[in-house]
This record gives sequence, C-alpha cells and structure tokens, in this order.
Amino acid sequence: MRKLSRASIVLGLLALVVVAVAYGARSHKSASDTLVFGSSADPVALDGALISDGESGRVIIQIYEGLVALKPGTTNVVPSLATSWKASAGGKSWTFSLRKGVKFSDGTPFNASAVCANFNRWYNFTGSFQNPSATYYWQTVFGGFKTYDPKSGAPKGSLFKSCKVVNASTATINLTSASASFLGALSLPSFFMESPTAMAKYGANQGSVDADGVFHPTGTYATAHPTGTGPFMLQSWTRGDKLVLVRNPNYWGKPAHLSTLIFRPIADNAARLQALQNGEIQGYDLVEPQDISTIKSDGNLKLLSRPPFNVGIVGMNQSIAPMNNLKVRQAVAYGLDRQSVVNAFYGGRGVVAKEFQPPSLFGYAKNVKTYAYNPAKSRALLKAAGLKLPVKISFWYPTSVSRPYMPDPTKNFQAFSASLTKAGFKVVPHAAPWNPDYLGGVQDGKAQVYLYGWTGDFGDPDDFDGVFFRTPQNQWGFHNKAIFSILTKARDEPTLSKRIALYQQANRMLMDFLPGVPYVHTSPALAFTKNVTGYVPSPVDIQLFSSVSVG
Amino acid sequence: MSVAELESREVMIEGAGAGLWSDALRRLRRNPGAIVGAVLVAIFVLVALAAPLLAPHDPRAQDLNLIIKGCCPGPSAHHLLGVDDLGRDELSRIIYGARLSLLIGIVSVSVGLSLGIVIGAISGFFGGWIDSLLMRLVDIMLAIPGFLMAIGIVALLGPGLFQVMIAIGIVNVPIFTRLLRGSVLAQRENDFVLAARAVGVRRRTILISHVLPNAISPVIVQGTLALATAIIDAAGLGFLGLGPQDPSTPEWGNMLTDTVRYLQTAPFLAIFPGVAIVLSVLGFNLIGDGLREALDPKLRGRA
Repeated sequence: MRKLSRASIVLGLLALVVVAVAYGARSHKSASDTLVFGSSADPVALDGALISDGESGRVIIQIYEGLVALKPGTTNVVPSLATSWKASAGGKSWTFSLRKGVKFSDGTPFNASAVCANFNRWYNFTGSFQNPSATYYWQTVFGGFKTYDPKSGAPKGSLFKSCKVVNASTATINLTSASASFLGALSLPSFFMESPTAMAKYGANQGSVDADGVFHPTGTYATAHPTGTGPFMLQSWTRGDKLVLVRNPNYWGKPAHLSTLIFRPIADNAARLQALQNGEIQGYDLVEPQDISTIKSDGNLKLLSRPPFNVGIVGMNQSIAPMNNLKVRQAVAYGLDRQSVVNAFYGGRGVVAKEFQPPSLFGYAKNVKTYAYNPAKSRALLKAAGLKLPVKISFWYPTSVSRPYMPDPTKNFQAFSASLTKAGFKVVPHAAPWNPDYLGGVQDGKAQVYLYGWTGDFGDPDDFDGVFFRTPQNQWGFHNKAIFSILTKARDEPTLSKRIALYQQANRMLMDFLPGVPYVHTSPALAFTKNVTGYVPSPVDIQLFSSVSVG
Repeated sequence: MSVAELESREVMIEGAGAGLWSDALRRLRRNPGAIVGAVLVAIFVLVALAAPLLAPHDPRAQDLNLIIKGCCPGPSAHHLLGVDDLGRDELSRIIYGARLSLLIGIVSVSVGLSLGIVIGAISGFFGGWIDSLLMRLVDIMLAIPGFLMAIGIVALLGPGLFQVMIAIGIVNVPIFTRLLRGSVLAQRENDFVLAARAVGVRRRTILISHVLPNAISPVIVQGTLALATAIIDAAGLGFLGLGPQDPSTPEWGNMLTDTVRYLQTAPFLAIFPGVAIVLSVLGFNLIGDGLREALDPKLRGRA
C-alpha cells in the first residue's frame, strides 16, 4: 500500500513536469507569427463557387481574390484583381482591366482567359451543380444557367450572357439586362477567381447531391488543392481539428505578416471563450452578448466590433388572416416593445431598427413612419379593425440557432409575446428547429407571425429590401405591384443618385405598408488576445487576415 | 378445535393483517431517513398546492429593465433568489415549478401504475399464453433504455407537457408490470387462494379481493421511487427542449436549459432549480426506501 502511494506521487510529479513542459512549449510557439482563430464550424468546401456559408467564406477570402473587393471595414467596392472597370451599352456590358503579372499559387498566370474560364464554368454548371445548395449565390445574383433543368430548382434564364477576352489583360462581361448591383456582388467569395489548370487537374467539377438535398464536391480540388491568387495558401486540412494556411511567397501585393494562419473549429460558444482565455486560440467571431463583460474585464483580451450590417425582423404573413389588414399589422408594430428588447438582450450592441436596411447603407430614408411601443394604440387599432380582443395569433420562433441579430430567439419571443399580450393579442407559441423545419415552414408561408432576419452579403440595398420584397414570396404573402416595381427599378438604375432616391422612396413605402416590423440592427463583436493587431472588422462577415500580426 | 377456538384464531389473523400497515408505520417513524424524506415531500407538496399564496411575484411577469446591465442581478431584498434572463422572479418560478413537477410526477406515475397493475395482475394470475405474450411485450419495452424510450415517445407525440407525462408513464409500465406479476405469482399458490377457489369464489373476485391486496406492497414502494425518477425525467426532457412548448412556463428542467449559457456569469440561475430538483427527488427516494424496509416481511418485528 505504501509503495503504491509513493509510486503514485512519483507518477503525479512526472505528469506535472510533462504538463509544464507542454505549456512552456505552447506559450513559446504563440509568440511567433502564427495565429489560431476559433471558427464555429469547418468550412463546407474551399471552392467559392459552391458555398454560401460564412465559415467557408472566412477561409476562401484568404486564398482567393475577386475582380473587385470591399474596402476593409466598409462595403465600398474597390479594385482587386481588376484595376479598373467601365460599363457600356447602358450597363449591359462591363469591361475590366486586369492587374498584370499576377500568378495563381500553382504558377499559372492570371489573365483574361482565366477570368472567362471562371465565368463560363459557373454559367455552364449542370446537374447537381444547379442545386440551390451548391450554387446559391450564382442563382441569387445571376439567376439560371446555360442549360435550364426544371428538376434542379434553379431559375430559367440568366443575367449572364457571355464573357469575351479582349486581350490578355482585358475581359468584357456581357449581361442580358442592365444591373447596378452586379458589381458589388463580384466581391462575394462565390465569384472569386480560381486557377483553371488546378480545377481541371483536381476535379473541381465533380460533385453530387446527398439524400438530404445537400451538395458535396467529390473531387479533391475543394478539399485539398484550392488554388487562387490570395495572400495565403492551404497547407493541410483535418476536418474537425484544424485547417492550416501558410503565407503565399509569390503574392503580388503586400505579403501577409503571419507565416501560418490556423482555423480551429469549436462549435460551442462557451468553449471558444475558454479556448481564448487559456491561449489555445488568439481570436474568435460572434461573441455572445453575455460574454462581452467577461472579455472587457480580462486584461489579456480585447473586443472589436463590426459595423452593423444586419436586421432582425418580426415577419408577418399576409396570406393568413387577419394579417392582410393593415390595422392589424400596425397593431403588431405598436405592440412590440422593441426598445426594451434591444436594451435587455443585445449587451449594448444593438439599435432599434426603423427600416429593413441598415442606416450605414445608401438609400436609407430619414423620414419613415415609426412605431413606438404603445399597447393602448394597438388595442384601439384592433377594435377599429372590427376584431374581438384578444386577437389570436400564431407566433413562430426558431430553436437551436444563434444569429447576430438574434443571439437567443427564445428570449426575443418571450419578451415580444409578453408585450403583444398587453397590446390585445393572444399569442400561441410555435417552436421549431432552425434548419430545416423553421426556415422551411416560414419560407413555405406556413408561419403567421415569425422571427426573421438577415445579414448583408455586399454593400447594396438590393441585398436587403430586394431580397425580401422585390418579388412575391410565400413568406410575406402579399402582391403589391407598386413595391415590386420600384425595387426592380431601383436595382437596375445605373445612376447612383437616382438609385438612392428610389430606395429612399421604397423604404418609406415599405414602412407604411408594413410587411414586417424591423426591430434591431446589431454590431457583432469579435474577441482577440491583446497582442493581435491589424484586424479591421468588416460589416460583412468575412475579411482578410493579411494585415494581422501577433506581437 | 372448537368453533369458539376457530373464531378466536380468525380474530387473531385479522388483527395481524391490520397490523401489517400499522406496524410498517411504526417502523417508518423510527427511521430517521424516512422522516427527513417525509418532511421534504410534505414541504414540496405544500409549496406546490399553495403556490399562488407563497409566490411573491407572477412567475411569468417580465421586467426587462432589471437586466439592462447584463444577466442577471443576483438575490436582493425584492427578489430573494434573484431574477432570470428575462427579469422574472426566480423564487416565484421555482415555487410554481413545484406545482408542475408534482403534477407531472403524480399523473405519469398514475398512468404507469394503473396500466402496470392491470397488465401485471392479468399476466401473473391467469398465466399461460396470456402471460407469455404480455411478458414478451414487457421484455421488448425493458430492452430499450427508459429515458431513450421517453424521448422516442415524445418525439412521436410532439413536445408538450401532456406528452411528457404520458411518455414517462409508459416508460414506468413494464417496471410495475414485472413487479406485480412476480408478487401475484407468489401469492397465487397460497392456501387461502386454494381455499377460496374450493368454495367457488369467482376468479375475478379472488384476484381483486384476495390476491391483489397481498401483492401490492412492493408496487407501492416502487411507486414512491418512480415519483422521484419521474421528476428527474421530466426535468431531463424539459432540458432537451421536449417539455412545455410555451418557453415562459416555469418548469424546473426548462429553467435549467434557459440558464446554461449564464453558468459563468450567473450560476445561481442553474443552482436554485437544480437544488429544488435534488431535494424533491431525495425526499421521495428516502420515503420509498423507508417504506421498503418497513414493508419487508424479513425485517418485520426487528425494529
């Protein structure tokens, strides 16, 4: 017995030594030019054309570049692989002058034929590549493909017409109709330039759709050999463990400060915070409101904020009575205590939304109709609509999801439900898991009143108002020709000053018509250790790490 | 033996029969564990019944102004156990939560107990192919872990308070069935059953008025213990989001789920409902254990 305990003491000491050595080794390593970033999940694939999620985009933007980019910290379009561009034929034809001397990381040159090869690849996708889960952004921005496949779910007809090589450093993109939002969209990871040689070599055009309707690439290009012109290159990727990027030594621009950039997926938010506190990672995104005070009070950590570029909405479906009655929609708007919800649940990082688009974006109107919390007015409106109080409404809210505009949907629901009850409604709760039940139900038009929201992808009001209200949608259940036509007109108008006026008018019309009640714009937070510098938070969820250094 | 002697013996037997319960009660009173259990359960039931009188606030009333500085202010004079992430009084929610837990416990155990008694009695008393068939069904149910089966049933019926009660009740059925069948089997071959049969008493009457009363005591013990597990299971199902659909319902399991994310900043929000669950479950377990010892014939007359 005595021997045993002595042995265990020795073992314990040994273990301590091992831990101490390991800890020393790790802290030594973190002082170098390596940064470990805690992501919330693995990327889906490292081929921009085939993804629509933020975690993929976060990695892709380090490896690839687009013709245009967003100026760091803003949504303004600036040159990237294209140095300048010119629209002609009334906005139907766009000529890009390309940066000279740029090479993909496999050594092949970037030129006009590479640009056209990329556009033609996207336009010629067939079969499973036309599935909305594969090419979401192509379908959102450009519509359909060269060959229309009714089984795929992709729309018929495309905004893209052709791509022409003028000379080695000039390419022209022809569109089927004028579009002003097209240029901003080219800053999306889905339209980044990829090496045609590498794509052919590693089977970038192989993929299939699984039983759940989700697309997966089957070649090795998107998982092991992504090849772009960006400041970083993929070294290795072990799913569920880490994705390692290294500096691209032949980058045309200013080389990255970091020699190694590692993304570690940690799904649980609390676990990410702990990993940051104990030095396993040096930064993570989407800090939850309740952790903000912890991070602020920790001397080793710092908090960065993204400019608000999202909107939280209480949606209303007008195809389910009595939501078709404007008075009832107004009663809902006056009955939502938005100010209290924003004050209580957003850790001081939210503002009450007055319109469906964020204030930082052009087209935001100053003088829209506002709806301050007033339960007495709600009850009066409901009575004026000829309804007997309390008015029963079915209120949907999602579970197992956290979004920048609704960190905890259940809490938003409970607070709104309580304030609506005071305003003369009887709220029937309906909870469903975010994906697929909730989103499916809402988009099919089954939800009467529901929590919804949006984070912008690029700096254009069409990405907010247009996404929701430019076309008839089951989820809103209305046909308002005036609203549809003004949003279409605003999207296609080539002159910026006219576009601004059109969107301002559209925003005023929307807040009178009240298809939903926008309630919050938030400024999502990122956390880093104090020694990380040079990270400029972007309003959209992804940005470059090339300017980041660990000191 | 004369008739008088026989009559006096009968009186003695009846006296002994009545003594089973009074004896058990006497021994229960001398068991300190059982007394603690009884006190805990009494408090639990009292709180549940008198919730509207005891609770200082409406358990659903929110005060978002209280949490503007972050979640969540701890205990204060106005809110003895603090408020939760929607500014609702934690103490009132725990008091009302006792109500739901008691309701869930009683309803689900009643469901399990009544179904279990019927199936177990039929199976044990009639035997033969009925017994084989019913026992194989019970075997199948026992092969699935209880909590897993409860999750499956709720998934099938859809989440909700009533569904949770049904699910936990059904999970309890095979346990009660087995227990009662075993003790009915033991009683079935006794001389008094043979005697009753000999004088022509109907089988149903024999089962209900002669066999069941003698076979029921282990089931009652199990019933008390099952109340405890029912409360835990209900909290577990609530924790997994299968409980009451209205998230503002003050249910202990729900309260735990809602506050997991504040474990670092406001741990009391998880501790208080946790303690409430532990104490009520402990109470029922202690009483159950005490009852088992008190009713065990081998231990009779010892204490």
